[in-house]
Amino acid sequence: MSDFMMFSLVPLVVAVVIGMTCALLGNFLVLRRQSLIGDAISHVALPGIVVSFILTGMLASTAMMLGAGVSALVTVVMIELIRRLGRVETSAAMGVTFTSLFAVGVLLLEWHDATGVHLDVEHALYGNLESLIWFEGTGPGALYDPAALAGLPPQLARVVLVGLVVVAFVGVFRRHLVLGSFDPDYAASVRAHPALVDLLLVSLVAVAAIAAFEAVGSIIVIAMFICPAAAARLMTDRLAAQIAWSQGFAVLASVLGYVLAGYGPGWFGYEVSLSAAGMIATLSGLILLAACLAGPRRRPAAA
Amino acid sequence: MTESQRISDEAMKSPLAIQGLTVSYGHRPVVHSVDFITPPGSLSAIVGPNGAGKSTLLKAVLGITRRLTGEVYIFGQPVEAMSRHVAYVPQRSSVDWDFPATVIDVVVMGLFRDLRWWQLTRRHHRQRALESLSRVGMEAFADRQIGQLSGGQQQRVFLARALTQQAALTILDEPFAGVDAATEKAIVEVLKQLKREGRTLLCVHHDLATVRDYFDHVLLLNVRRIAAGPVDEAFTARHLQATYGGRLSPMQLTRLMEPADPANQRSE
Amino acid sequence: MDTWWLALTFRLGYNTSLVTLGTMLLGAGAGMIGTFILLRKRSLVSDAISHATLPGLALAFILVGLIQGDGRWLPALLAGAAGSAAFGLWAVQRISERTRLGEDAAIGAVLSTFFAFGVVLITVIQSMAVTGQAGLTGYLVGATAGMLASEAQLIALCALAVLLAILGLRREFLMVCFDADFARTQGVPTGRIDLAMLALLMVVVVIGLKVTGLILIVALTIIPPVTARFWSDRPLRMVALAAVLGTLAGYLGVTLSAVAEGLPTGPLIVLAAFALFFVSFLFSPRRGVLASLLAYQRFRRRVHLRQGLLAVARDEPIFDDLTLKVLRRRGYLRRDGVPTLPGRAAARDAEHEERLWALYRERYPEDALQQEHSGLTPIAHVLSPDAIMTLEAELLGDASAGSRA
Repeated sequence: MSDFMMFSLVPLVVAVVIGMTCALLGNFLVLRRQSLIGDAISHVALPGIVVSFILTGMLASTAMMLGAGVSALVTVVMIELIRRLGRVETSAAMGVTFTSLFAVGVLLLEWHDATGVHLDVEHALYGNLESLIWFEGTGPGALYDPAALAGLPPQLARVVLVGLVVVAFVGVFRRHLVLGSFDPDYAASVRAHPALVDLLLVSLVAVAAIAAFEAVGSIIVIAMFICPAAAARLMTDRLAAQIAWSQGFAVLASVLGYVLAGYGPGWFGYEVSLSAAGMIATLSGLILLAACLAGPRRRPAAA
Repeated sequence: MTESQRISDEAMKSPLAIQGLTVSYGHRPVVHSVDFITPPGSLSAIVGPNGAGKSTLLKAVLGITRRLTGEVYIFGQPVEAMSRHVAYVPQRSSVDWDFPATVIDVVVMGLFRDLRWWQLTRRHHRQRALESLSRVGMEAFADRQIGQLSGGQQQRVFLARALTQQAALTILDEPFAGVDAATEKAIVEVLKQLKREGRTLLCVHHDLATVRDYFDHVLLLNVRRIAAGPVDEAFTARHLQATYGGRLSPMQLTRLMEPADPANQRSE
Repeated sequence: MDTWWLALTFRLGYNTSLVTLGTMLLGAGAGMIGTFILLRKRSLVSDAISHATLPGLALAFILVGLIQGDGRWLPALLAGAAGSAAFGLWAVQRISERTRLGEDAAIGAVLSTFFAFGVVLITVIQSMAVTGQAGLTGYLVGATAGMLASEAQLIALCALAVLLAILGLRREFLMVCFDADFARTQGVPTGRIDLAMLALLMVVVVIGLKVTGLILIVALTIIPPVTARFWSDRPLRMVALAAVLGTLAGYLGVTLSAVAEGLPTGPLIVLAAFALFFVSFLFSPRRGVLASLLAYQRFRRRVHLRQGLLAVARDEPIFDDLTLKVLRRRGYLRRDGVPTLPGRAAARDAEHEERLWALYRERYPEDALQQEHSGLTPIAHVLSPDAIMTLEAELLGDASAGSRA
């Protein structure tokens, strides 16, 4: 039990919170056919973090978050500029932008490799969920012990905060989001400011991606933006129900993925542990596969 | 200088007055220097060939597309301040009908400006939406998934959504495109009824044969304004020729100019 | 600098020269196939393909490692990568065809899930007693530094084969990109040609893994074609341009990375491609930002000038600030808003011109519809002097008829 509290509780909660946060936003990305913006933004968190590291000379969380945030903003602006001014199709504009920025990140990283600081591409991609250890979590009593709670990894508070912000955003702007996703022209005609809400949505995608980035790496974030919401889309024709399904899928993938990665090999007699982030993302993909094969609303409605 | 001095009396009273409106994509004008005034309580059509800028004109009026030059006034006030009084029915094909929503969900969207973010959608809101639905004869479909509707039914749902806005001016983009005859008739009835209530309607319309039956005013548009006014004055063979060029055969033109069939006479 | 010059002139040893040549061929192939994919509006499919290679790569590494103790054997790794990429591609196709999900969701789901599974497999590898594990991470961001001659030869040969295949199939590809439905009615097997296109894209991505890494190879299939779009609208010319741009990016990137120890090849190639893109984006005379902005501003001023002059001619008040500014700058209006003499003259000309255009449109609706609609071009630039004379005469006739009436 104390082992669980110390080593597994925090990573599990972080994974679940991030999964639910990303899946909530993902619903609107999938409906707007903008799923890949999450992909693009997750990739560019790397250059942001590297640049902030080079500027500040340390791996401070706030500076890294800020750097990643700036780079996400740069990405969105660059995509829009290339798309509008260059009249380039959206997906191509996205491809140009995020690969170039990612290249900048890798180049700077390798350049600075000589300084011997631990910051590498793999870490950025896979994350390190397993490192979120709660040293003070020695037993159930720690949950009520202020001293022990103060020792919780800071990532936990951060992802919870981001989760709350996202929930508040979706709550307040629910009508704007739905209207802008369904019928942007009409939304503009009733001054629902679809372009502004769009920008807010993308900014929150960036915030969620960055908060998750440090704890779980970018690949799980991309999976969580898309897979649970896409699977939920195949289960129902009601938006509220779709969101509920996506949250359920996110929790299922996170919990099951974490357990499988940590204990799965042991069941077969191997004493290794697998990447939890990778496993969670893989499971979310398997859930989507199941929904594609058997989801009650998998086929497009015949108009 | 006050707004009232900028525009004529006629434009002051009009639900929609457009002055010198130019819209361009890049440096190609799509709508060029258009002036147009809709009389109060009129049912007007915008007619012109494909690519003549009809939809763009509507979008520029609604502030969806940016104007290069020109002003748009609603009852003599700049449109930006008056957008509450304008309802819009976009082209049916402009949205993804596979969206997870029911008919009533879509119609309630028409109440967007009346609902603050902390308010839930209450029964009286749904009631208002249902009333609009029954005006277009769709109340039985309220809980139907929108993807299951036929094209005509989708168009009626869009009209119902605009009706809930109870706006003085309703702007419709091709409301009769790809709908069945029954729907077309139902929509025309609703539009004429709205007109009798004193509301003003402006439609982009593509079927020249029904212009005389359905509308009382017309704007012939091909990037520029070719002609505008009451249908009897503006909808002439000469103007149509100038709007469409050789795309209309002389035979079509003569047929269009014949007085409408008594059976199709306007109801009022 | 000297090293770069040596690298640029292929004098940095057999291996480096071979790698440079191979990368250039790869860049050409990626640019060409990428252009067709761009025209088909499916640019990010290559993103899905490239991420989907990871599990295959890892599985092949495990298998080869179990057999011979060291997992690094390029042909097997590439075969594994191709296998899982093909599977991923198939999944993207099936999801977007058979379900209501869009291709964007299908691509995102496949790329993240496959990549995540690859990551899981890599943690498996880390727990195995197989050497050469460090070599595997090279596939993420690319590494040409320690490339064996045999590997470079393999890549160069594959790239050459792809290049020839694209050249052979370019007409079919073009037809499908241009109008797939029409092509089908002409008896072109569009399904199979689409498949061939994607297969070639896959081969490019797979052989690019070693050079640029799996995330950055996507850039080579997207950036040069987008750049080419700025310089030509003709598809085949775009293909050729993209090939040249891709070659150039590969050439510059590889040689730059030879300058100093530890400079990664992939990012340099991508940044070279991006630099070419950026220059085109700004300065292309056809679609470049500067040219468009200039043309837009000029057009806006012309519209304002014309509308302002017409307002002057009709004695209407002018309120628009830009219109006032344009008129003042030309000296057509005084500071207090009163028209100057030249302003009056210009207004008369504009009004006259407007009448000529209106008459022209009325008399020759057919021809007028073919002409520029804004009527901002002086009529003398469009019509012959004779035609204008006729119009002038008619205008006079109209005016006198009007005054009689």
